[in-house]
Amino acid sequence: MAEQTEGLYAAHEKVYPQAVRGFFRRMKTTILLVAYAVYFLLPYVRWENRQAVLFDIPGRQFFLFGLRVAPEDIIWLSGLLFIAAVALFFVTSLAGRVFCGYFCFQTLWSDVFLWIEEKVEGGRSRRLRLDKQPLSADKALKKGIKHSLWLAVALLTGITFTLYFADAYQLWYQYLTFQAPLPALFTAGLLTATTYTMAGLAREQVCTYMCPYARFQGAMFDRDTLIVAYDPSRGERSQGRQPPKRGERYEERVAAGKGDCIDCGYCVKVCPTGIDIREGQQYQCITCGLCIDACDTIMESQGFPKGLIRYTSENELEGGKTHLLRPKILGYAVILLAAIGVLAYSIANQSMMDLNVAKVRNPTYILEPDGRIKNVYELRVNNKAQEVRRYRVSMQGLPAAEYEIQGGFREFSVDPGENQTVRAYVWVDPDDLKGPRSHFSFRAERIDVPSGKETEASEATAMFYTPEQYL
Amino acid sequence: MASNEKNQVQTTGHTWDGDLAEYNNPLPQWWVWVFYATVVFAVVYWILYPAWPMGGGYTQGVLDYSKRARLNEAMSQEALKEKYPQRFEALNKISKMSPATILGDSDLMNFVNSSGKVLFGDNCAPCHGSGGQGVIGHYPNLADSAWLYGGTPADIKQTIVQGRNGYMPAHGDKLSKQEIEAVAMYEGSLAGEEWADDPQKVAQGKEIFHGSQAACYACHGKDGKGKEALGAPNLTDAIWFYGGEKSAVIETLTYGRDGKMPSWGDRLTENQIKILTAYVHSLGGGE
Ligand code: SF4
Ligand code: SF4
Repeated sequence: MAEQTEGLYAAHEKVYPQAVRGFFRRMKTTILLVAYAVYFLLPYVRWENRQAVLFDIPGRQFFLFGLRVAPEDIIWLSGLLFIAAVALFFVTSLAGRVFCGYFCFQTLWSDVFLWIEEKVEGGRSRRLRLDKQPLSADKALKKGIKHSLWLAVALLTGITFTLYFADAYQLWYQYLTFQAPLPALFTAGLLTATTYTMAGLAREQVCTYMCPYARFQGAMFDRDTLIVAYDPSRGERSQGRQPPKRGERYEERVAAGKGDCIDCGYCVKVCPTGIDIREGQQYQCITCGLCIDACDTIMESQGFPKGLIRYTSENELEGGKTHLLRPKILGYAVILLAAIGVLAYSIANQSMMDLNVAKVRNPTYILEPDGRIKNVYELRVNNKAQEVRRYRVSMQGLPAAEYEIQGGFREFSVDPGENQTVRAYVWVDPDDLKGPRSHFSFRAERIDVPSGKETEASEATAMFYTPEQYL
Repeated sequence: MASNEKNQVQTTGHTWDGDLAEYNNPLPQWWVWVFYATVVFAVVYWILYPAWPMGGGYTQGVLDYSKRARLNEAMSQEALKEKYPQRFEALNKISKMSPATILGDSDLMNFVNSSGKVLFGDNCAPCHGSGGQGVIGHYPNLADSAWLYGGTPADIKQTIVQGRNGYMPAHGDKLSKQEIEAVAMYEGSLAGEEWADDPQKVAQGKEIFHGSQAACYACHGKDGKGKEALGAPNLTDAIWFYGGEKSAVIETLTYGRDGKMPSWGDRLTENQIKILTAYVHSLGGGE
């Protein structure tokens, strides 16, 4: 007999998930609606004469409601990424891949695409039949409608994404009048294409083959982590799965050693990643809980207790208890809270200004007619606030020095988010200096216009150079 | 026939002189297609873009494309206004202001500090140095407060527009070596130089300085403080344009000096001159 060799690649088997009703389905739908509402409506929310959430790339600033994030604040981004990472560890240790099942974009969008598919082509069995049929006018029409609807959702998703980077209303106008700038068109096109492919065509393959999270989540699991699992001891008992017999009471079944699973296969049909949860925990499972809903429906109709498939932990499956408050979880929680606290504190107490000093090194020093030495500096005052502010600059720390700000601008106003550069000249008689380099500092203070009082200040050190020959 | 017929090179079937055959080596398909594609590309290009010379003109192409027109458009006032509104606004403001008022506007000075740096680098830096520090003996330092022709915005502007001609006459033929040394000694004493340590020579030099033979005072003033109207330097301060050593001063007295700042009035626009004036003023020495 010829030897059979197995290929490296298995052909893709299309998954036809069946619709299901129940607690987890409702939860998923609710989360989906909230997430979609936020994603699709947020660009139209206004805040103080501008878009509430705006990633202004040319202006190099992000707006998040009342908060303006300047490039200097990039450290916040690392804070945010850190928080996201810890939060992920936290929920994964606590409840496995729940992020996948309920919040992941891939899940959210595939869910809607599946919903469209079902509305157009019908339920699971009708879709299976339709795909086996030869091409007919009816089939072509259904497929056509489905793909156009998919594309429409994908396009709306792509366009909405670009709305976060420019004034949403204006950009819509540009799209509708075919005047949209090339980068916007390109981004919207790319997002449309990827949404269509990922959520429509690739679907569960993204979760099983592409998503890196599926690969490393195992590292965060332990025996107390909540997972979706089938209870084999109850489902199989000593006699294995048994279809129901008419008139047989539950107690009789149990006494006869028949398992509670009636082998109806509903849990397999509803699974969006196409796995059989009864075979034990599998990495493809996104813990969406739909099989729980499915099995609970069956259990209810049979008059069996619910929970044959349920959220449980390995410990509990083996007859123990689930310990939710484990040291690891508490550790993650503490780190998470601390990181959130630090970030919040940093944002709440951010300085709304800063001062930068650059020595003009060309020339390093200037000999003045009266024999004094002059050094020139460039001072840049950054106004990070979202309103015009007034600043006063001064220098201190060099005894017997005289200074002047170019144009006499000791006080000036700076527009929101802008900066102002002024030159400062400092004169010192070399006899008053101790060495060729002397440290001193410049100071910029924000002044409250009506009262003239200082409200905030920023200092920067500088160096005064004198050549040895004049000392 | 042999079984490896496939691997043999086919002939075209033409024979000459009884046994002379022609091999048939056709081009690979992909090559042929690339060739057809280039032909199609060329034809499309001819239709869309200017391509064929036609006597005095050329085919215009349906896209009406012209690089020169595009460049002109990109450089036009409207394009400037749209692309760089802040720059346009600043230039517009500058065209209506004098250098002195520009210096008093902190917003405009932000603009001047950056665009002036470029203008200075292109036009002035070869002589005066990129920081305006000059070269001793050749080009004056613009960052210090010593000005041969005055350091007010108006003076600086006039210097840029009209240029300057500095002239120090040679005295080597009128004065003896000993007399020149005495004058140098006197001048060194005015500036407080250490080498001016011979009171007798200082006194003699003072006499010559104020005498009619050399008449130094006519340009440099009775007190030696110079005259900006003539570009005659102040001799009592710490700045020596041609160097402050005794030998340098003697050389100046003996052979004279010639300084020339070219005029930029017809090489720069009015706005550029204003920006440069304000920039030079802010280098550190402006009055
Ligand atoms: S096995 Fe259940 S929980 Fe896991 S993906 Fe399938 S339906 Fe969702
Ligand atoms: S839905 Fe429940 S009863 Fe039906 S096959 Fe799955 S585990 Fe068994």
